[in-house]
Amino acid sequence: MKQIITAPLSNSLNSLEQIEFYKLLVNSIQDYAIFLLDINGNVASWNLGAQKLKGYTSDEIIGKHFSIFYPEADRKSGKPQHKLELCNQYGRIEAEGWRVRKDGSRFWANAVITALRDPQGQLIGYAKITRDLTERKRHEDALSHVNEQLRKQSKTLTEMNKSKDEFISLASHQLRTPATGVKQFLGLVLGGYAGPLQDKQLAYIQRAYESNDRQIELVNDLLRVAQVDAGKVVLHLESHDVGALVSDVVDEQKDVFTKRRQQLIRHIPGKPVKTQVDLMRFRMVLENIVDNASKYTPEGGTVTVSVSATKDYIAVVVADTGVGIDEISFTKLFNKFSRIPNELSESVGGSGLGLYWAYKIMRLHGGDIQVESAPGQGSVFSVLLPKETAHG
Amino acid sequence: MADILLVEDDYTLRDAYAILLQAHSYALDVAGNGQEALDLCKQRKYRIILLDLMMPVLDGVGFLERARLYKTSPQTRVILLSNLSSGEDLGRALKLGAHRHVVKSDLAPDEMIALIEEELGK
Repeated sequence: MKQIITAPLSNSLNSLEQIEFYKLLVNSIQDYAIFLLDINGNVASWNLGAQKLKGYTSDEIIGKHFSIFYPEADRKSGKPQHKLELCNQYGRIEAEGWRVRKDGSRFWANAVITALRDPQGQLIGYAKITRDLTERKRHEDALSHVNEQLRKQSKTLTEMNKSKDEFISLASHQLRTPATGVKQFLGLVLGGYAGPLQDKQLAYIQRAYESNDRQIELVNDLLRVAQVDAGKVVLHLESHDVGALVSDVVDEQKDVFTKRRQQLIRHIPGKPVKTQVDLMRFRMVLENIVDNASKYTPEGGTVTVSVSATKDYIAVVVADTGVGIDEISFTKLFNKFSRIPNELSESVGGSGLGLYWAYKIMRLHGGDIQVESAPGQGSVFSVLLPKETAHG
Repeated sequence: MADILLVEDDYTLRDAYAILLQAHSYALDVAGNGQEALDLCKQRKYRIILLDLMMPVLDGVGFLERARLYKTSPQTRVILLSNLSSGEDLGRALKLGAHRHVVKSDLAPDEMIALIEEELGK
């Protein structure tokens, strides 16, 4: 049968035994240096933990002043004595700092010094408990070093990002200004402000005007891509009827389809299909996809635009009977500056930034752009928007 | 009240806009920077100010800060005509009372006239 201990062990010991008991306890502790100092700060007792931590045996250290444990600079500045004075004043002090072992090596110590007084309040010495916290200190220092490095890197990156943004903004401004001059003066000539021109002259100037507009559009594309890449695009989400939006976009591009003798079919539900979109940007995505479908479809072809809703998504599907996309080009479709080489791409123009930007914008909406295509069999682009809530 | 004050430092654009606006018989004053514009605004009021942002001597934001048009000339419509499409200056200019912003390179001559007609109708 197990013996049940009902009273603290110390209760069953007489006072002499108790003293021996505590001596034994203190001496056997290995993880803490526990020792006594007399009122002058000389070492008066020494335990196993102290020997282990500081390297001195009790014979070597008893009677020596405890300032021996401090680095030379601290000893010179009178720090050990000052600590005792503080302890005497406040009863107890706790400190952390470097201490020195017998072999001269240093360790980071946490020390508690307690003033010991007799029943009359007379100071009789000090009890000192010291722990080795070198490992913790090392981790803390490493962590603080890493933090400092990260802070510096973050600052550098922020500055770099800012100057990159400023550069892009200024470069766009500078590129746009001369192109604006060309646009204005060619526009004046085309508008008849400089007097009548022959048809051929008008046609040539029209081509120069369009070419200049492509340059302007390229700058605009670059700026848009730079903004989306920099994470600077904040969507202005509002509830809109996607069906009505698609109708608008298709209506605006009707002339282009007529000009290219393409048939444009639309399937838009009678009831509104509403969801959260950034109106301006989503329109640009749609314009981009519909315009691409027309561009890459030969004359006489058909482009079908339909809007439908599934449980989770609203899908705008743009299907064409155009040249299609081969397997190699397919993987690069959404890359920056990717232009798909085919029989129409020569005449199509474009920066190769449109789809990249459109994809990024749809991802910001919590949506997607999906593509199915094969060479010679047309392409199907599905622009997906989350139905209820939008992310971004 | 004169019709339009054009504030533009690029002489090519200044000339192009001046040719266009004068061909449509608008009474037009032209300033090459914000300081010149400020001097003109002290002499008369305008129905429309076409204001560039990046200019030497005094830029568009500096002009708006000093001119305080919302006080001195609340009927004047200020159109920022700049090739900056984003940035701090644009935001500050709109806060300082500019009514709208148009990217210059997006605006063809007939669109400029449509814009002026629309603003004069307000």
